[in-house]
Amino acid sequence: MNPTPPLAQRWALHSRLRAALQQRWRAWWAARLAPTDHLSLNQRNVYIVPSSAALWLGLTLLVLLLASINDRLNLGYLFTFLLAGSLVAAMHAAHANLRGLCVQVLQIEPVFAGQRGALHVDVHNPSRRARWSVGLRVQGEASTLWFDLPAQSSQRLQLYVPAPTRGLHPLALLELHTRHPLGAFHVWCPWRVASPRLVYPALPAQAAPPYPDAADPRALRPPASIAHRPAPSAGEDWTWRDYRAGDPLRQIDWKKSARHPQWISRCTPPAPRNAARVLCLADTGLSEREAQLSRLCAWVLRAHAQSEAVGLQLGTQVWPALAGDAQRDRLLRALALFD
Amino acid sequence: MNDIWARLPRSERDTLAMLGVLLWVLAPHALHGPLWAAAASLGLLAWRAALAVGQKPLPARWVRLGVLACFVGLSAWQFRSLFGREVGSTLLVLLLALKTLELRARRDALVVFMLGFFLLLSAFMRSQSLGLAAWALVGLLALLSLLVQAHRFTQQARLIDSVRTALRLAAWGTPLMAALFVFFPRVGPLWSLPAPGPGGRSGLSADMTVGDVAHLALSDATALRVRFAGAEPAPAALYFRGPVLEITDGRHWRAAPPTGASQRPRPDRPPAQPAVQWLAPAQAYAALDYELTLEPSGLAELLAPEGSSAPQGSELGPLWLADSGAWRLAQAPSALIRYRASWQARAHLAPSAQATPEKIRRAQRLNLALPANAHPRTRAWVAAIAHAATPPADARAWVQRLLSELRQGGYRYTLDPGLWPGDPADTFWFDARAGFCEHIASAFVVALRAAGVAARVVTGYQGGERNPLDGAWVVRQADAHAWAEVWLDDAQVWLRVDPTGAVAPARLGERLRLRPPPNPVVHALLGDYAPAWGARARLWADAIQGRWNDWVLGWDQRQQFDLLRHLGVNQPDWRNLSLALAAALGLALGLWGALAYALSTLRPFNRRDHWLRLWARTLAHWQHQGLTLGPAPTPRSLARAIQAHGRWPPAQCAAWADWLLRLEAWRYAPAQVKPVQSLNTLAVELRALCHTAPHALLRHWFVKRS
Repeated sequence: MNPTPPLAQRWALHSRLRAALQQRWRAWWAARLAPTDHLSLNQRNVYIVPSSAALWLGLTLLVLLLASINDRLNLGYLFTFLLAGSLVAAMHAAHANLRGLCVQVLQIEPVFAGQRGALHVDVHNPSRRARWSVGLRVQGEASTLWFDLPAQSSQRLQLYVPAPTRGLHPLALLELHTRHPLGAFHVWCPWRVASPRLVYPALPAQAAPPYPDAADPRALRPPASIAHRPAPSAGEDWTWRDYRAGDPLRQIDWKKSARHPQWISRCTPPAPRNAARVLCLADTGLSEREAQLSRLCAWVLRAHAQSEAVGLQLGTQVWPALAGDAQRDRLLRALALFD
Repeated sequence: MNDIWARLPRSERDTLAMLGVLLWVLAPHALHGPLWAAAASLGLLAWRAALAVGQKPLPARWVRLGVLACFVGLSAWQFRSLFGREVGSTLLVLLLALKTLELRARRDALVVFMLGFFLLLSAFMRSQSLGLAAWALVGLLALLSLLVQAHRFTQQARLIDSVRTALRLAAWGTPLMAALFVFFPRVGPLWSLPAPGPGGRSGLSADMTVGDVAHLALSDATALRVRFAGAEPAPAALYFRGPVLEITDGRHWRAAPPTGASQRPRPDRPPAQPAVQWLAPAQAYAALDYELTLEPSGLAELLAPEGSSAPQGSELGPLWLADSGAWRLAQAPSALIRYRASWQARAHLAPSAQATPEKIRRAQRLNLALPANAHPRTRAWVAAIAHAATPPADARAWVQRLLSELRQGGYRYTLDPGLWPGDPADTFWFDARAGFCEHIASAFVVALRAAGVAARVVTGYQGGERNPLDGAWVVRQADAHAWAEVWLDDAQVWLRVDPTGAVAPARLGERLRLRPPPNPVVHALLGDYAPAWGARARLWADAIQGRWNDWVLGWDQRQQFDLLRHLGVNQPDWRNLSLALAAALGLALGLWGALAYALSTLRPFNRRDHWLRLWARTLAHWQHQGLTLGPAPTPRSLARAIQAHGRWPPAQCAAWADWLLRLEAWRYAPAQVKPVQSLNTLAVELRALCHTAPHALLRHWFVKRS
């Protein structure tokens, strides 16, 4: 019916092409930049182009000039040229707003893939001029972290940078930019951070299922309340503790209680159930690698939240089961770097 | 009030600031436009301010569109058109006020700024006075400040910082402005616009009804300024010639229509050759060169001193000597104009070779005509003189006779002659016996015509006031004057006769002019000191205004070329001007660069922390001595390192340690430094410690550089 593609399609094609070109251009540019954790902004790495507001201001100037010429308004000339002079001065001021700043990476927080992780940056203004409305952002993104920097001062910033994939990756290309003072010029300085960032596997969308049977048979058992628990039989290892209100009568060790000022309860010892919980890829019951890692990741986090010990077996490497923050970080790192 | 301000979020505060600036920008326009437009724009701004203070949402789109339609309809009704300067200006004001109700994106703010800049400039089409320039400068800086503020994205952005930034931008932009202003080629209008009518401007007019100059004589507004080169003329000899009035109905006087329709098909085209000429005086008076700036008056006459040579000026356009003897332009200038000419006192106006006898006769007839039945008593009186025993023989005798009548007949000069319902000439000669120049001149001319002597009334300005501060003559509207011109048959020339001089000699030349009585309240408050003080202030204001006119408003192509000639260009033209513009821009930018470099690097401007400098010098000294220092040395660690090194005598080490610890304390424990020491003392001590010789200072400098 309609031989020519609809407008929307053509637009989509156009924008795809544009995005691809932009992508290539950025990649080429990023490749030219030397990665560094400490960047001094100077004449060589600060770029400036007129913005669309400059176009409008230029148009205003043209109209003002035409009016002055046509009405032979000498005061109009004066006024127009003062505005033009201010605009040129604004070019210099916009460039000077970035030039001379120093940025330094303080810390890069690890992050789960698909999330934004905090990058801690120190910005320092060594000059005697205040810097107004300087922005730090991921290049190509609209949202910007704006900050003012008084003369000879520093500020600690926290920028959340997206982490698309798992592993130890360099950060996305960052950019310091400004439009101050008149918005007529866009000034920016690209920044490739040298230190890589650790990206853990993505967290699964739904809550992870309970631990598999193989790892811990008791994990599947519904948590029995003490009231319904069968009385410990003689063969089991018992431990004793002071009576607590609510302990069933048959749990009280009357013999021992007789020798003590208060009642003593019998109870099963805290289960050494996590001692053996070492998770492996096969436990997840999933086939896709990233999904497996995701689930393991979720289990490790759950174990940490419940203060349980957990270990990991990935390929030939084994991490014995332990509890604590260090263990969690160790395991997450292993998951992040596994391939 | 402060409380409300502090509680508002930043965006609302910025909006309120913008509304204040817009009020400033709109004010002069609102004063000139129709009243309803002023009220409407003020109301819109107030509405927006109320919305901002209450943090309420902006009105819906249909409300804004409705208001807009209302405004357009009202403007169309008021001006009977939607095109033209006045209606455009009114609509612009209304649109700007309406736009404030639609400030959502930054782009909307940009539109407001652009409209604001344009409104500032469009005010200059009405006037380019110094006061308006000051208003526009404040408006421009305020708009720039708001534009800067709109590009501050942090929450705590203070307005005062943005104002400072804008001021700095404007200061940096000034050299560029100066370069562009001086050398930007001035070209004529690109397309012609309907010239605004002379309405609303006071000054002389092309016709007069006797009594019309009364309110002019009270106006202190400047009519023109003259600056003579070399000698100064006598003020009594300065007659600035304006419209010549030849046709009268007894009360109303007007100029003769251009004669010889075949010769001059259109009144705004110059004739091939003027029909009149100014004769050089018989006695050799030195010609005085002068430069005259003329405020727009709605008249096409150039108001040159009588007897001037052809005026020269780049903005004048076609110019010719009209039959009336005044220099005429094709069109009444709408802005200040400036020209140069030379002038000789006591010149006579005579028909040139181009004037045919027939034409001269026609002019005579015209200047003899009196309306029938008018001035019966004057006619009777003149007839009585003519039939007396010794009647005046010729025109000169008639002039003398009437002047002596004016001198001896008890006539008075007054600014307050009252209303004359009857015949003006008869009232002057016989009833009132008082009046000012218009009454006197018109009655005088009527009497001469009744006697058969061709005469006419000339209007213009007489005299002027020399400003001792800048040597310029200022002629005010109060100097407006009317005098008579009499045709001498024997000499075939027009002779100027000023009958007012016969009545009130002080009116001419002397600075004794009738002034309105002082305001009683002001007089009571300021007493007798005020006049002297006020006169002095007026002199200053005049001098400043004169400079303003010369340097800013009068800067034209001719001045640009003159400047180029001064700079050594023999034949200035557009190309040279463009080159000069480029050079000046380059110079301005170079100046900029030099200044920026000086501010950032040179010692007196870039006052780095004095303490740090001292510390850096100390470190440089010890590095030169071969002491290896850790990564981040402190004064204390340096003292330890010196001691530990063991190469220096203990006394020297102790002196250094003492000094270093005091240096540290100065910075980090100032309360412990007793007595309070200045850094300069420490610096002097450092020099003593280092035994610094001049060559060592140089070495320090190199160490620091490297």
